[in-house]
Amino acid sequence: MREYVVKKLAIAIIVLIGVYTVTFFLTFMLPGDPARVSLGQHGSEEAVELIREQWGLDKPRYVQYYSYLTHFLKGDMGKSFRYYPRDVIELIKYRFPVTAYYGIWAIFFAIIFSIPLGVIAAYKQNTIFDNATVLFSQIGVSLPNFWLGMMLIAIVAVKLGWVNPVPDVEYGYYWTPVGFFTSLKAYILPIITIATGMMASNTRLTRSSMLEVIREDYITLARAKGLPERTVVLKHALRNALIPVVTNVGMQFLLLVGGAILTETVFGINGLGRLYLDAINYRDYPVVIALTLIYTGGVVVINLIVDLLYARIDPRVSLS
Amino acid sequence: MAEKDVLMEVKNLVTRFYTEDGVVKALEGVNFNLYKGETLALVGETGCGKSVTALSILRLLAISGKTLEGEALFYDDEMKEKLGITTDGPVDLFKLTKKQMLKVRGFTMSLITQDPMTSLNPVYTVGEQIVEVIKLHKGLSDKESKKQALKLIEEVELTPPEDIFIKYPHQLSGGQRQRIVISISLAAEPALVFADEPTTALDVTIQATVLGLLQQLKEEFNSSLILITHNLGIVAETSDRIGVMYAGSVVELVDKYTLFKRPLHPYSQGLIASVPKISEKKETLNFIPGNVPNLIHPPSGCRFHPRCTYATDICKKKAPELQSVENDDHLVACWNVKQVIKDLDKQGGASG
Repeated sequence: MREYVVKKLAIAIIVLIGVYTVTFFLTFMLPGDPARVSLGQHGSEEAVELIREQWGLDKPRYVQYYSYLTHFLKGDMGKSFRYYPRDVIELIKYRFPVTAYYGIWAIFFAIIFSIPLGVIAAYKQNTIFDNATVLFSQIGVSLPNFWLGMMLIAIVAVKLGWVNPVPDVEYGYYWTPVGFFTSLKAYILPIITIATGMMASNTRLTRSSMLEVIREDYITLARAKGLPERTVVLKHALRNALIPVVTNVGMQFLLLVGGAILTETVFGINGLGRLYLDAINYRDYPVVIALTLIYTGGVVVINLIVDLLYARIDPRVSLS
Repeated sequence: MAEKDVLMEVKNLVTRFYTEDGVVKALEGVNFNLYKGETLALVGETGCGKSVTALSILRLLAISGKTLEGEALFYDDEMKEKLGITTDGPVDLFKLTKKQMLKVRGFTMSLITQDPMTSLNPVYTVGEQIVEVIKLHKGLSDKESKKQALKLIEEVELTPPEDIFIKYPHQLSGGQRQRIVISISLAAEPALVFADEPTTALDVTIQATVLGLLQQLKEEFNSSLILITHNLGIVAETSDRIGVMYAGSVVELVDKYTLFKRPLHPYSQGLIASVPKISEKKETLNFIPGNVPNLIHPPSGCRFHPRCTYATDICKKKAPELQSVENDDHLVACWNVKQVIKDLDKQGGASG
């Protein structure tokens, strides 16, 4: 297994360099000069030139490409153009806890409700409960994130006045042991916005996977052994049915990034998603590249975890 | 058979499946009895209700299936003791509660399914899957259960048992897996084992050994065996008595020698005659004209009448009952069995 992990990580380095190359040249293909953007319309030509020199933008592309890469490999992600001279890493470190907080809750809810729902729906196939679950998960999968977010603000926050449309919790408080739970109310709308689609897709997948497994011969045989229904479903069926769901949940960690951009824009949350979006708008290349690389690294690590989990759940999978 | 104690009497089993295409009348009054220690083969074409009979008795039909009528009377003191029933007489399986059925399944009756590739749970070791039954029905400790499981693995001739115990199903061959399934089915020493096409999915070369093993263990564990198959070769080899099924009911029930020598139901005659004999030189194979009936709209009366050369008016109107013919142990469900016998005697008793 260790060999497998090492091999995967080695491949990850190649992937990262590839992604870096593509992102690097793509960002520079965007119209607009970062130095000009940072000084605004009224900045003088000399000032712009000065900044270009300071940021190394006057050097040839390949020199920039190489110099950023070597710095990055040493752990230096450079300085933000927009918030010069703050370090990119500092910006990311500051924003990360916000997104991580509501993201973790969203995934938690998406798992905790969907799997039991999917199992029960499959078990009671074609009953009202099952039909309702299918209907709602169909709706849940189809709802666009940003629209759902706006509707939640309009109805729950504005009309009913139950919560503040913008989460009003002091920075960092939500990562204290008490704050982790008490901040839930403030962040409930963004959490619902992100979790709905995930929950719906997990429910659908669990249900269909369960329906397939329940028809297997080994389930009939488990019943013929005299095992109670609960053991048949929870021990024999569920573990097999969960195999595709694990992949789906892994993918959802990645979807979180896309979801974060929209959700944070709708709810005015200063998280990684907003940082990413603003960086693109302000031609803040170091931030764009750093976030893209971190995201890629995340994909690799999550895929690796999914693979390892897979091998744990399903003995037929061998890691080689 | 020296003793002829009855283990189970199945009376008038009626099972339906409610599908989108309509109601499938899968079983229409299945009757047979089973003696202690015997092997009863249920034979017939695909879809005649052999497997459904087993699943109906085990009460393990899919959700769409329902047994509407019938009794399965069980004469087994061990089962009564386990269920805490003190009254005299047999126990009707269909009158037991769901909870009581859990104690019966695995303990009194067990099942061997057709395809060993799919009948073991891929995510647990075979050892765990055997231990599960032992713990459930014998209430032994983990250590004792494991010891018994190892013994069972040895009984089904897989060695070394310690190595097999920790194997996952995909690490074993089809034959090895079916041996594991057999050991699971016998783990709680049940009075009755249903073997549903136990060797159909196996290589021909190992079919005989697996069947032989099953037969030997069944005797060792003192169990009765209901062998469901469409393979008459297997039937001839292993069974004591044979129940021929057609379109949802047993049409003839008799010991295997009589069935092969002197089948009395027109369908059984056709079935036996359709087995090609290597010693006979023939241009065409024998077959029964017509098709297996659609069980959503089955023929009226005797379901075999559209394909039967003996069919008369009464056959279209009323289904015949299984009745003893010639002697008490030869049961046939046919209105015109007298005519059949007459014809047979004319030919000098040879099969048709």
